[in-house]
Amino acid sequence: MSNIDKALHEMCDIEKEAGSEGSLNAMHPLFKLFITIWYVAFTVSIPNYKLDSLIFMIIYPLVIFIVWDISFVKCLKRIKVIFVALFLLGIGNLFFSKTVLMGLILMLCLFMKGILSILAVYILAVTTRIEDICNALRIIRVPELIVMVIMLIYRYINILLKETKRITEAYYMLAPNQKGINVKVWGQFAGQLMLRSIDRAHIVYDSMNVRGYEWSVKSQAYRGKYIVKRIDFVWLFGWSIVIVLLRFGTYFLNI
Amino acid sequence: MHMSDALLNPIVAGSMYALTTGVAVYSLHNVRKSEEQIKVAEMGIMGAFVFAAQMINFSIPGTGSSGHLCGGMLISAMLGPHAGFLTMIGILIIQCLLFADGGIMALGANIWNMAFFGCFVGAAIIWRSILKKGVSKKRIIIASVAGCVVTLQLGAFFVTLETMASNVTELPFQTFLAFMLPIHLAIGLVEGFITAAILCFVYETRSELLWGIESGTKEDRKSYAGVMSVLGVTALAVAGMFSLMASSHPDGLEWSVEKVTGSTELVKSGEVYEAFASIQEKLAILPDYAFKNSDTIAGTSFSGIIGAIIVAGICTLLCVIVRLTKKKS
Repeated sequence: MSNIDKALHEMCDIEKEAGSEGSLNAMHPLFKLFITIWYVAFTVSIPNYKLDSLIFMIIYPLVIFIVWDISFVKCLKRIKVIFVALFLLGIGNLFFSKTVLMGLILMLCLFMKGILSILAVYILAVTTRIEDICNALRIIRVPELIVMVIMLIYRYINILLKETKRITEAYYMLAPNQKGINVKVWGQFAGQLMLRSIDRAHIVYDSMNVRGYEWSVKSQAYRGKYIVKRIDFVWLFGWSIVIVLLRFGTYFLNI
Repeated sequence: MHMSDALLNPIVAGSMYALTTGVAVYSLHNVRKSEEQIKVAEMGIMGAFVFAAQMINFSIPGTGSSGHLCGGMLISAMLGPHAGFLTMIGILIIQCLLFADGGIMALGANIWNMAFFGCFVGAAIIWRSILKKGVSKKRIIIASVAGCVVTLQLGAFFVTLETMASNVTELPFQTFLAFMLPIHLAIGLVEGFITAAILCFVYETRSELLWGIESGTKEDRKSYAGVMSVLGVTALAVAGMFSLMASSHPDGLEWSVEKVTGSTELVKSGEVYEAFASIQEKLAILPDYAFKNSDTIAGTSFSGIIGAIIVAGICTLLCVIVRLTKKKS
């Protein structure tokens, strides 16, 4: 259970980071979301073997990481699993391309595309709170049920964490000197955890209803909360143009 | 199985978004229709449960790799395929936007590979059909394991298909598939047993929480028809869109023939050959998957759709014949 504990605590860290005060965090969430999609779309649209074009695309995450002081080491630790997956897929090209050099270039292209697009999403994740992302989804008319489920999942994780802790402690008290949880009771353990969490979730949800919450009524709380400032427009148009220039930089420079 | 953006090109990513949106709209419509307030809390907590479960990677013995639960089957066995699908969308959006796990452009593909098959094939077809004639622990185990294995294999197959359609790697389709399917078979088996253990416990303690165990009602049948229509629409969409991305290179057999003879087609002469060729020419309304004397892409797309309809029609006809023969005997 220490794994789940660790993972969930990491989640809290990201949430804390996203909620911290900073000019990038204060930017309109919809504009940040748009720039992220814009950047990813342009990055992955770069043809295979165009490694030079990809090198230009590094500028966007590099500027953000340096100017807004986002920890690159922490980022690498969090996305290390994706490195492995990209590496495994990329290395196959060494053997199946016409020449080893072509395979190597293709592998690097795939690797860079993957890393750059993950970095862009990571920037969005560590600078935008869950509420802001959900409100951005509401603004673009994503159905309320989906937005509400996203918010509930996020909030209920806390309930799940507490229940996990309670059940684990109870188990260890009943089975002292035992290393880990016996495989034979894994199903019961997970099932019990699920049922207890469902019950607690119902209690929380009922109390929300008592206070007048109705999921089918679209939340209006976000209205007026996100005033589009001049800096948001500068951010949106500025980066949109820069990203296009980065994408086609090699053509402009006739490289 | 979370795909990264690097594995897809914008066209394939867009197509997957379109397919996923269609299924999401259908699911939303169904959930709203059978609106139960109680389910909203369950959707949230089940989402949190699967979200947490996906964070724990388990080792696959003998391979040096690891996997994690997809959870589509587990969620749908508790909530039903429609609510389960929407919950899975929620989980994958959180993972993508808050943890950079799975690409933002690949979100549509990830929802399709991990949620659609788990919810609509795993629960709506496999779970439902196995538990139709009664519920027991044995049946729950069979349904869970079969559901997880089949849906993960389908998901892995589609990951390969989408990557190949995006043309981002020189890795041959068969080689990529040979890596993907066995590893996901192992992951599917582990997921199947974990899912079975949890669902058996729920069945023993609170069986009313399980979905679809009272079958045979009118409403159930209506919902089954709904699922089949979603699958039908999906088949048409895939046939219409993916056919446009089909490679123009010769297929495996043609390639082999070309290597041996220097041409992809073998020319045979003689009356019998000519007679059959003439019949085929008259019968083929869409030769080479295109309109006659035309090379437009609309022809390819149209051929895909027509082909899917005809195959579905033939299969339905065969099923009707088999049923009629069974009744008579």
